[in-house]
Amino acid sequence: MSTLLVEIGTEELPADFARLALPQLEQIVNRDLHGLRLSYGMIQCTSTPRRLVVLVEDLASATADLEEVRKGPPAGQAFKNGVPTQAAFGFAKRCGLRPEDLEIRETPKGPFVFATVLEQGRSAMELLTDQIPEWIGSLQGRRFMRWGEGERRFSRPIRWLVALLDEQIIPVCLDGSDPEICAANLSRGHRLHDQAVSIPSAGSYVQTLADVGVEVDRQKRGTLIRQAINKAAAGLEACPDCPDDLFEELTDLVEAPLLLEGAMAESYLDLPAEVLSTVMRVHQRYVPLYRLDAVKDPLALDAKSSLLPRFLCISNGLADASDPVRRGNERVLKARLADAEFFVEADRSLASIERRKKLAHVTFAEGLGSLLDRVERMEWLTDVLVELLDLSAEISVQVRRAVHLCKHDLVSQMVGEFPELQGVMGAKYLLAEGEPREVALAVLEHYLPRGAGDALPESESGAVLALAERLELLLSIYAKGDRPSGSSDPYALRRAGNGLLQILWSKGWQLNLLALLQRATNHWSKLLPHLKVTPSNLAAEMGEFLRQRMLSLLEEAGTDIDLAQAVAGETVLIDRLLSDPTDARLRVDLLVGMRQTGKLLAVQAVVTRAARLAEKGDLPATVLSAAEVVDPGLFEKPSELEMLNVLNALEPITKESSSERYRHLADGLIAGSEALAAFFDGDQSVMVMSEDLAIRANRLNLLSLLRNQAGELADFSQISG
Amino acid sequence: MHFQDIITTLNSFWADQGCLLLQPYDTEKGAGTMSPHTVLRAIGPEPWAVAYPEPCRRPTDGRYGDNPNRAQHYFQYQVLIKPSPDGIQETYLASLESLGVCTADHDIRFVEDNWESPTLGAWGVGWEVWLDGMEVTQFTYFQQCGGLDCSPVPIEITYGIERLAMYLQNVENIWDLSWNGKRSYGDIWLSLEKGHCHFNFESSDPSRLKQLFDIYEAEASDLIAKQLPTPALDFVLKCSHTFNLLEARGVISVTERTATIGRIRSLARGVAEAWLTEREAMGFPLLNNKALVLGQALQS
Repeated sequence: MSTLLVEIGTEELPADFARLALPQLEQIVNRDLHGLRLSYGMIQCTSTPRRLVVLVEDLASATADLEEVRKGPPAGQAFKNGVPTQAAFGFAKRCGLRPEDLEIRETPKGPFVFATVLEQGRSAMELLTDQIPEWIGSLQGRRFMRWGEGERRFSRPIRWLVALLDEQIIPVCLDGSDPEICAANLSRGHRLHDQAVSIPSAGSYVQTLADVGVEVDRQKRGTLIRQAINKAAAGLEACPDCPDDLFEELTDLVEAPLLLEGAMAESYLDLPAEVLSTVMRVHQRYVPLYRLDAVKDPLALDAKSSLLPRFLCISNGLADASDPVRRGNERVLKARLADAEFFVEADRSLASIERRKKLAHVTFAEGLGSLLDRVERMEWLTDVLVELLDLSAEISVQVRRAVHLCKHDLVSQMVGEFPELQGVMGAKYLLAEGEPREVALAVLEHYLPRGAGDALPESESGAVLALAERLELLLSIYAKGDRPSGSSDPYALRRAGNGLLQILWSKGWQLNLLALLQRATNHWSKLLPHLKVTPSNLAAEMGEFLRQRMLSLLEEAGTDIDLAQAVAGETVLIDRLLSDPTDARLRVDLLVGMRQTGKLLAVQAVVTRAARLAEKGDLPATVLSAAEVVDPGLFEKPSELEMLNVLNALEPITKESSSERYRHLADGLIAGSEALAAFFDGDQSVMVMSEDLAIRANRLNLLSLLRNQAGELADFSQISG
Repeated sequence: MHFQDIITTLNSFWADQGCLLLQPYDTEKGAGTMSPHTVLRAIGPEPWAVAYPEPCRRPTDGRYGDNPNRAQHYFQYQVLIKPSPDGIQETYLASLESLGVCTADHDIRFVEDNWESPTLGAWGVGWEVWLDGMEVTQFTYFQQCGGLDCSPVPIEITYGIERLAMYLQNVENIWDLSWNGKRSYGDIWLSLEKGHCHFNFESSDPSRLKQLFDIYEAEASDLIAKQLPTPALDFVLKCSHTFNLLEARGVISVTERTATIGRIRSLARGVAEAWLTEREAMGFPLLNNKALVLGQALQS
């Protein structure tokens, strides 16, 4: 039993490469050792910024000899009168044997020639010499590079290779590297101990590297970092802000983690917490420290009640150098924060309402005027939304003020420097200038949701403003003639469409998008005559786009596709869908609930059957009442009357206006499903296509009515059984 | 170490490594990369090793001299070596030692930062080098330049001289840097900075700049057609700088920006191709000097 060590020594790897490469490496090594029949105990793949490592323990030193019995041609063909034929020579040759080594055995199909082949075991050394370059060559990652004059591609240049089977060097070379890399037993320590370090044996690798300042075990390094952060934070009575991605990156940025505590001048807490934490986490990879009693107010202009004037830094330096390294990092942070302070001061010297005017000088997109034009179109949309959603006077005042000011921070210095803080900075500045909190909050929230899974606006004003923002983008970019296609969606229109629907759904707002689109496309065609849009075409295209967004959102949420199609699919009139997208969502949820409780199947069975037969009749889909179209005098079986009773009970429900009407309709269908089924099956069943044409028409009308009434809920023909 | 001594020290360090020492190129540019000594020499099979300081102009970064860390005009120290040699990171760390940065006393890290210049049609992978959390150098293995694959691969090392100087001199304001012990950075550059900020943000005439852009573009395009890559590059650089001036006036929209960058990139590609054709027609003369260049590097 041996230990195998492969260390691929590189220049500093991108911090996320380990996370991509280690699982691949483990899988490949596992697969190949199995394939080679080399038994082993445990595979450990690990990494530091300058190396990828495979350690395999208890590896067999060779594969066992393999005895294999192979079946050849029938004995009669292989030997004629005891003399081997061409067939016997051929088979023996393929097995590496002579004809006299073959034996004849009886089989159920008669006597056949057999050969016993002994495959000699091969040494692990020999097998690994072939295998190791393939492992290295098969790793995949993003943005691989070439270096020097070589053609080899890797994440960063490979500079050394250690390949040991216990003490023995495995003679592996990597072609295409410049210079050529051949395996040896020489590794390198931490950069500050940068002499070559000799690895006496694979088994002593981890300890040998530890002696030259490298903690090779990635997981252990992570644990050390986590513990150090928690301990330091506890000592400072603070809560560390170290999300997983930062933590992983810290682990992959250092070979010898050393925690440093840094401080900043208290006065920098005058900056917004979002700015401080963005600078610390994103730009500097520091861990910000929140007060245990932090008040996190997204509208606060300062961080005095949320952050401590301190940070944690995971250094890769020597403990002796802690002081200069800490001072250096504090200096850098100070310079960055001084920069931010400068931006805030510059921004605060101009009122937001003045900054808004500057939007006139920034072009929104070709043919669509300036950002100020965009804001004015949003203001128009806000007025329409206020009217269609019938919002209170109080909300209307707030949202009209908010929309007027919502984009001012796009020309602020702070957002120029930190684009991810758009809305956040704008809101803080507004509140500080004395705007009502609700107005500031609406400005903050109008960028929500920023993507899938992001929070939605909570305030009503924020939600209205967010709707106006997305509608303006969709209308304008569509008017300009750009459409999302395939993976190309440069204006993130799909995200805007999704956001629009998610906001309506979360607020439960009934918005007549059909009416809105009709008015807006007319308005747009007048505002932007040079784009020569036909309002009705534009509205229709946007309607279909929103239908697709709805289907896609439902699918992403795990809704069964057939149920989504039954409510929002192509067979459903777009007018119905757009006149109230929240209504559509309610019906989908209802169907999902019916399926979960097992009640959908019975309803779906009768309705689908009825709908199929109803095709043979001519009752329009809009007729919901039996009064004029069904004659009980023509009934022959009680099941027909039963059905009429169900339909008569359902009819008033279809005309209800309460939000509960769909649940009532569903309940009615569920309750009536047995009676309806009796129409088709059993001793009460009737023959729809009766010879008597009057009876036939009467029965077809019954079925059509059922289809029409159920159609208020969904297109049942789309639901699979 | 005074500002001018940093340049002298780096000059002498990289000369010892076998680099040619050249002077700044006389056209406005946003980065040392855009000098023909880098952007053209990175292309093709001929070896190259060069070092030079380069003034850079980024009009939008101007703050009228009010900001302690930002200016619209500053200096880079640029090194380009093709093919990239083994041990280049260690050589670079030795250059920091030569400036008096004792690496054992610091936390020096190579943090992934891939570089891309949309206007030059160039990209590479590498790092920003952090000295105790401060980015002092950009390190890039060029993979493509002017839309052409780089083979062999050059390594580009770009020092931010002001950053390093502020660190070495323990100064917190760029304008307080000592240039030579008698004159400060501000003594020399502050009035120019203020004047240019006024020009960049207020006094330039956007419509005239747009005209200039069109003229420079037409000139570059004609020169490419005439297979004159080096004068064509001058006009591509002028286009690029004029575009930056337009941006400083805030008159470039998001879409216009993308479209204009695309126009400059297609010119840069034309220049790169014409340059390669010209060198090929000459039989890549520097290939013969390869042994000499490497020999010098080895002696050091």
